Amino acid sequence: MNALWGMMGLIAAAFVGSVLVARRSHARHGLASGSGPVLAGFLIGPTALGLVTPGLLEVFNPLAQVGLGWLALILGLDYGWLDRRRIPTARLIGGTLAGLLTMAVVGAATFALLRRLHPSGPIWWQDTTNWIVAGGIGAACAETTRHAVRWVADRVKASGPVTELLLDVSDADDLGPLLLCGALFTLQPPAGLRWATHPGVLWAGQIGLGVAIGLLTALLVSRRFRSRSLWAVLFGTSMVAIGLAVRADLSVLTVAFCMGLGLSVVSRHRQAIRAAVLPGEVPLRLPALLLAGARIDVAQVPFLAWVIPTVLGARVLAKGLVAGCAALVSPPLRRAGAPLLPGLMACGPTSMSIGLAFALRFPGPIGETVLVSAAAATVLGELVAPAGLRAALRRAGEATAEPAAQAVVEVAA
Amino acid sequence: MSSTGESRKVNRGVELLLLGILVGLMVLASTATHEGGRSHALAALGFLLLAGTVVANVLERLGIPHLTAYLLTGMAAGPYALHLVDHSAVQDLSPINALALSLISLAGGAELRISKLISAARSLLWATLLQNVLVLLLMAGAFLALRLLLPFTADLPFTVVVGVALLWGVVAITRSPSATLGVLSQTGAKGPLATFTLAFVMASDVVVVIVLALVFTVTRPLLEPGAAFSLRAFRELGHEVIGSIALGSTLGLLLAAYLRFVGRQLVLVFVALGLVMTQVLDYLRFDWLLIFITAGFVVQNLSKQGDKFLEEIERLGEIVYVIFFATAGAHLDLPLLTQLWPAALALTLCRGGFTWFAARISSRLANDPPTLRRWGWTGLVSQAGLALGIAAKIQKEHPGYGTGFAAMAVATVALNELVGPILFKAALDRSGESAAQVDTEESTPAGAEPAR
Repeated sequence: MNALWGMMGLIAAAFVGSVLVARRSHARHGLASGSGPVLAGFLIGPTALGLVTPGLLEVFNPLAQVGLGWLALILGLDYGWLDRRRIPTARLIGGTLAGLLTMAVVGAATFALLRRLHPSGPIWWQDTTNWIVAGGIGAACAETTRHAVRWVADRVKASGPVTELLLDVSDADDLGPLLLCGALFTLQPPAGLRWATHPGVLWAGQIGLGVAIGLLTALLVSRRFRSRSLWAVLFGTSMVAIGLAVRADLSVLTVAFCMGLGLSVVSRHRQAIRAAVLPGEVPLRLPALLLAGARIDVAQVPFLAWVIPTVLGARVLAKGLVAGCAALVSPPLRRAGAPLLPGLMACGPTSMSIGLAFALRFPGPIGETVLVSAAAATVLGELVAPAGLRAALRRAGEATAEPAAQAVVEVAA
Repeated sequence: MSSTGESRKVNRGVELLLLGILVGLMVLASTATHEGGRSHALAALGFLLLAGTVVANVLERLGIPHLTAYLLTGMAAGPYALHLVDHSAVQDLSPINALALSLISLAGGAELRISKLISAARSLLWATLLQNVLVLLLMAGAFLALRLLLPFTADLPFTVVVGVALLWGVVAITRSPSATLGVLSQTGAKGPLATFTLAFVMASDVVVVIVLALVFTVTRPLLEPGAAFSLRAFRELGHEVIGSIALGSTLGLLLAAYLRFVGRQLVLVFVALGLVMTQVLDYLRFDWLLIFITAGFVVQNLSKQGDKFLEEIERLGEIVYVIFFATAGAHLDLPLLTQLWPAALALTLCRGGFTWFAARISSRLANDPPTLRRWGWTGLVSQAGLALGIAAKIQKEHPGYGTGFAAMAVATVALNELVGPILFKAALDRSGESAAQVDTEESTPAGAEPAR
């Protein structure tokens, strides 16, 4: 497959995905986590059919970076908001802590395993390679994706405090992983930079760069730009943010997320900006996820048979802790009962984006280990989360329709 | 000064300040990171888009067209001035050019309505004849007269210089559909001047390709002593032109059907056409500019989807045009321009004068309305890609003098590219064809909400 066909394939993927989303039939088709393109990418990648080569994937790296940046920008813009409703601060904090806890548990378990597998490595606090791998896997496995919660809630026509809480918490748990990605990227000196800089300064620099460009965008949008220039301004500033991050080998996800967050906090035009940015999400996200799937090469992951079970086991443990803590502090969640645990296992676009970001920044075993772990967590989530969420919402008394019955009604209609 | 005026002044100041911050960021990035690499194109893309938009907004008050502002931005930021955008980034952004040109061609074709073409047919016929034949011959004469200023002709025999002069004449009769559409898109102009210029410039692309084949055939014995007169070029041209028109008609019908029955995600369709189909058509040796002009024409005149089609192109064009012209500005070889400026200026002035002269005659013969008589020539000054394409072809076929020829073409095109849009916009404004520019800059985009 050459670059031309590859480009055509990506455009076709973006087209099909956009049309499906535009028809709003995604609630009934596709995977709950929204990771269908990852699966498609995996099928054409080197592990399965081998239709795309690593050289071809390199050609599309800039496109993948743009897709990642755009997704992170939207996550930043949406952080703390669910459509037009602000998420209460307590839930924001709760969701953020849940993400950080999951990241810490998965990261710690992976780090311990890697240290055991490489006992002759450097002293543990200087073992930057394993910190990057473990931290990256922790970040990639931290989320509970909103896509799955929405997907299930739409199918069973659920509404109520538990549905709302799950949506809010799944929105808020992206903050920690996306910010910490930036820190992990600085543990290995960025090849793009001329000067050696302390990792802490670089991390702060990424957050500062994102926030500064977000503020700049807010000023440009609010000052005197006619609405027809809005898209040009947003696209221009986001490309500058993404481009500068890529150029310096920093985390596109962190910079773009901080840009979106800064823009969302200071701009009065958040809704207009969101409306302008959102149509570009699907055409950019789908090719990025497709590329993420195509990059999966399990042959490059050392100790695959040990790493994946450990990662998945740690994620189950971490989400169990999160579900337990949530049930303790939230009476409505107590009603959802045990099915909440598999329900929280759903992960998808954010996880795969983090995996892809690591694969692009650290090509080879480091990046592949993070990407394959993200894919494994996504597959596990896809298998158990929809049923878990359905059962949890049913037990909480918020599901008003059975999926099968709903389908019959729709066919009859 | 009113409070609104003062507020606008302050706002423009703030925009310039923000632009300064952006430039500072790019300078910092250039200093702190290694040069080269494909990753630089992303930041360059964003910077050119943003800086071009801001500069165009600021210079609008001076009556400078947006696309001239984009060009100036690219020149300032490009590898020959501030070096905020390096050579490799400019090169990596070249696929955008194909996308922009495909949009321009589609829009150009779709702007041509049969009814308007029929009403302007007399003017177009006379103008096409005189602006192509007379200007070509006069420019060839000017080239011969100015040959002492043109170092690359110094060692050539006179017969060869005559052949080169005729080729220069072909370069001189090229026009810029992109510049024309860019100005019309900004001004929203409607009227005889806008209609005439658009129709003439779009048709001239086809005419120039035919004239080029003719001149190549005629000058071949002059440029290559011993070469035989051959009509092979015409046979190839016939295949290319007829094939392209046939393909364009089919594409137009397909696009009209898509608009009618699907009508979604046109941006992706345009991207597929601009980035992928152009390469396929190039490979098959079809003229994709002609294909897209024909397709746009078919959508506009053989279906009811023309307005929707144009609206969608304009939405994507807002971004693509900025990048296209800013990249073109960054491409301009400024050191070369400073070397060749006396001869380039002389040739540019001659071209402008002859264009005006030919327009006066053709307007009189066609009995044009006063607006066209007075301002009809202004839209024919801009030049862009086609001229450079022809020069590159000549350089490839005749490497001896071709290098100097191409350099001179770059220098004159640069001047025409900068001056042409200003002249055309001024003419549209003065003739009253520009739509009223409703300044909604202070307006609040929909969906505003209180700050947190």
